[in-house]
Amino acid sequence: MKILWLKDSLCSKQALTGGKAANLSLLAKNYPIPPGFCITTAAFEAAQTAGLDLDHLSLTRDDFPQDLYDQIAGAYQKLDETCGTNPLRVAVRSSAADEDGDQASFAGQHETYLNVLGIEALAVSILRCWASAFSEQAMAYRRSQGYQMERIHIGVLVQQMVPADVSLVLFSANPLNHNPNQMVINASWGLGESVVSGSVTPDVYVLDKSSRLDKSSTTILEKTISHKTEMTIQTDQGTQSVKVPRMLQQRACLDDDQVKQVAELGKALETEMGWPVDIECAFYSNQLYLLQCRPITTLGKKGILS
Amino acid sequence: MSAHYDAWQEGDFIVNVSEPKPLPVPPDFPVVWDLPEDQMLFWEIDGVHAAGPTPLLVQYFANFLSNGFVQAAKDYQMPVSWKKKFIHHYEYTAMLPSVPLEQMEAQTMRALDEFGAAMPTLKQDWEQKYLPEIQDCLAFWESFNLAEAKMPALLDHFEATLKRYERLWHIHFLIVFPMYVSMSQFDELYQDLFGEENALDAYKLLQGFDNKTLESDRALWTLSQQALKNATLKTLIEIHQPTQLMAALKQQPEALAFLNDFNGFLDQYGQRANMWGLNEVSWIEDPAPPLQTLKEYVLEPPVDPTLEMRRLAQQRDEAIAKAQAKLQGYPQPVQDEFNALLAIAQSASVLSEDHGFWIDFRCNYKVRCVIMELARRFAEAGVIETPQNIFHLSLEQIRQTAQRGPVSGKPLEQAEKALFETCAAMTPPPALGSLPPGPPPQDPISRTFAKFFGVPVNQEPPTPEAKSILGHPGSAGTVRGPARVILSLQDAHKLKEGDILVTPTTAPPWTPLFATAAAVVTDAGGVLCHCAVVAREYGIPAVVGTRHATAIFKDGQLLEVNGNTGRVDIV
Repeated sequence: MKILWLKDSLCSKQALTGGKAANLSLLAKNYPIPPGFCITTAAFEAAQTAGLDLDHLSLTRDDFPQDLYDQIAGAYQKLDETCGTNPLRVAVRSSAADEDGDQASFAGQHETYLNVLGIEALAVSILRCWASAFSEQAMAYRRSQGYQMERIHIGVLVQQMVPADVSLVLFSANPLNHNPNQMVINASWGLGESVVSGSVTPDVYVLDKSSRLDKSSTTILEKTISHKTEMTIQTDQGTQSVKVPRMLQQRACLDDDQVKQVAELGKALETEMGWPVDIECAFYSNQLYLLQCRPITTLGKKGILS
Repeated sequence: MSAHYDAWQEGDFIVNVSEPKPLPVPPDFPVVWDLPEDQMLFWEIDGVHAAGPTPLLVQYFANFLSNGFVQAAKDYQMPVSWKKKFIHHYEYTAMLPSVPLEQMEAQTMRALDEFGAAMPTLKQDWEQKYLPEIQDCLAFWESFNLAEAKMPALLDHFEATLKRYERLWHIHFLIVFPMYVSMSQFDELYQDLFGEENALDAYKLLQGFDNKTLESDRALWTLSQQALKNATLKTLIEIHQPTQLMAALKQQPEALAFLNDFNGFLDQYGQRANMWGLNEVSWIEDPAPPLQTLKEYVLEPPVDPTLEMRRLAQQRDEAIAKAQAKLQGYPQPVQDEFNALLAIAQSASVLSEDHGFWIDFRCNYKVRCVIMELARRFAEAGVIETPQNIFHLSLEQIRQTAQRGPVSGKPLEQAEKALFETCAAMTPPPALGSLPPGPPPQDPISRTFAKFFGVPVNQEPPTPEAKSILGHPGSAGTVRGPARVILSLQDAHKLKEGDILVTPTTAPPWTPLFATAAAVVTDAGGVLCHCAVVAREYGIPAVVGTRHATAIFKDGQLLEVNGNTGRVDIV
């Protein structure tokens, strides 16, 4: 199986698609996740067997076995038809079989390419995702976390691009004071890169989730509107970091209803997964999209909180 | 009102002081401070509107205007207010904080919220609320028969007029505050998004809309075209001085239709005076200024203003499309903010002329008519020497005279008029009081004021031999032409096609000259001042707020005006 689509039952097998893609696939039926497919760890292995040399990439289709390239092109075409947006822009993320576990998040260790347009650019992004798993930085991280170094299983997730108006990270348990009854949301303008990479001080919301499940019950305990000076925007091909206009720098990028909507998503995912979650999501045209869901690793073993 | 900014200007150059520093008082301009705290404020002459000393009666009316400012500033919870003071009849204004300094930032945020709430309905409020109220005032004055009213009725009418006048200035500032803030905010949003390389790019997106000033100027151009079609009329206009032209037209049967149309023009647009101020004579009373422009237009016909407006509108639409395309990949809230603020700033730039047409000129004219009716009667009764001298009376003197009739044998205004004339011979320093300490305030409201009144730009005072001078970019483009220093509209005839108009400031009635001038350079103002706004609508380069242009440039000197950089060179 070289290509698996989100929602396919096989796609939620972590060994085949990596932690990121597997988690999303599992959730794709019931949660607002952008459609997409995964180039499996098996496809990566087959490519290596067929002679893929990550140290000497030409960054063209010639790096791929012919049949894999055709399948990727076919899947991209099909995703284009599904989305009906012409031209189709995608987000390409590496999804390692041992990442997004409860021990280590691998957050930021593997590459993500946003706003990728066209099959040629997609092919290059996939090659770079593969190569990033072997970067010095990623290898050092693996070594430090005690992961195996010999065989690295890496999948690549390709999803319809969400041109985020606001990007957010939610922790369904407070990672600072370890309070399981509190959730924390970080939010900032534009694509997720500036929130995830920490280049911007985001707006921070601390929420009380101890109350009942009905929507009105989420209470905002703290709201800190920060001075958000940078944001990541889409360019013709790729992304760019730009200055946030002064007028919007100190404006809250979420309204209270949106905060509660995100909180409900966090609560539901924690219940669904059975562990406190660390999620990335985005608002685009007032729609909330889930982009990533993984356990909160800094809290320790999942048993501790429950 | 650029008070805080001008704190960095001592004499002519920019300084920074750590505590309030008293400004030197010229020996021939002594100042006595009634309130010690007033001496700690920074008092400045408003070069954008001021033209010489203010007669006593006009000072009273200026206080009504001032109340409107203060009231509207309160309504919008602004962190600043102002005070006005007449020193030797010269009007000085000081901006002062309305809250303790530590609350300034929070208060500024509150004011910005208030403006944010007012801006989206600015156009609607103008059309549905304020303009009808203004028109109601005009109808009130229209329906009163000044000439036939008995004195007690006329005095009642005068008192009612004062009430309406005060309300009109409240409306004036309720409009202009959010109006200028929206233009300034759009300018800043544009620069934040697209860079600051060209200070005037943002204003391209606001140009090419019709307004009352352009409409008035176009009506005059249409009249000139009409005159050009008739040889007799054309010759008549060419050979007569503007002051004699009216009489000449009346004697020429062929000119009858034209004369009717010209009177129609005056009915519509003749309420303008050459400057602000109730003592200024309107075009209806003395049509020489528009006739002068008409003559210029006949001698050297400018291009059809409608074509120019179309060209500017096309440029505008292209600039908007380009900006919107660049914003494609931006978060929707940024795009929404840009589009919303663009629409508001476009209406605001039209309103920045139209409010003046209705309030500053039409209403002012009607108030002047009431005053001049009293003046006529007072002069007939020998209370004052000439009707125009009524402006040397106080409000109390007017009330008492109207109630009790003439009391003394000799004209009432004599002492005050003599004092006024002494003052007129004095040279007022540009600023008095004390320089406020600390860095200039960096908030959107202070920046808006700065963009209207202009901040000092010259690091050092230019010498009389200076070969170039810096001001603010006012309207884009670079052009060369001979300097023509025009200190008042009476000198307008000196301006020829292709000249650079060099002037202290321009009021709306000056704008017909923009069709003749190749560029305009002013002493006062910033990118949002009336002169800059209209220069952009005429598509001619403008450098504003140079402070010294009229002192340095001489008639006939070849100048290069760079409206993009704000620099003027003698070439």
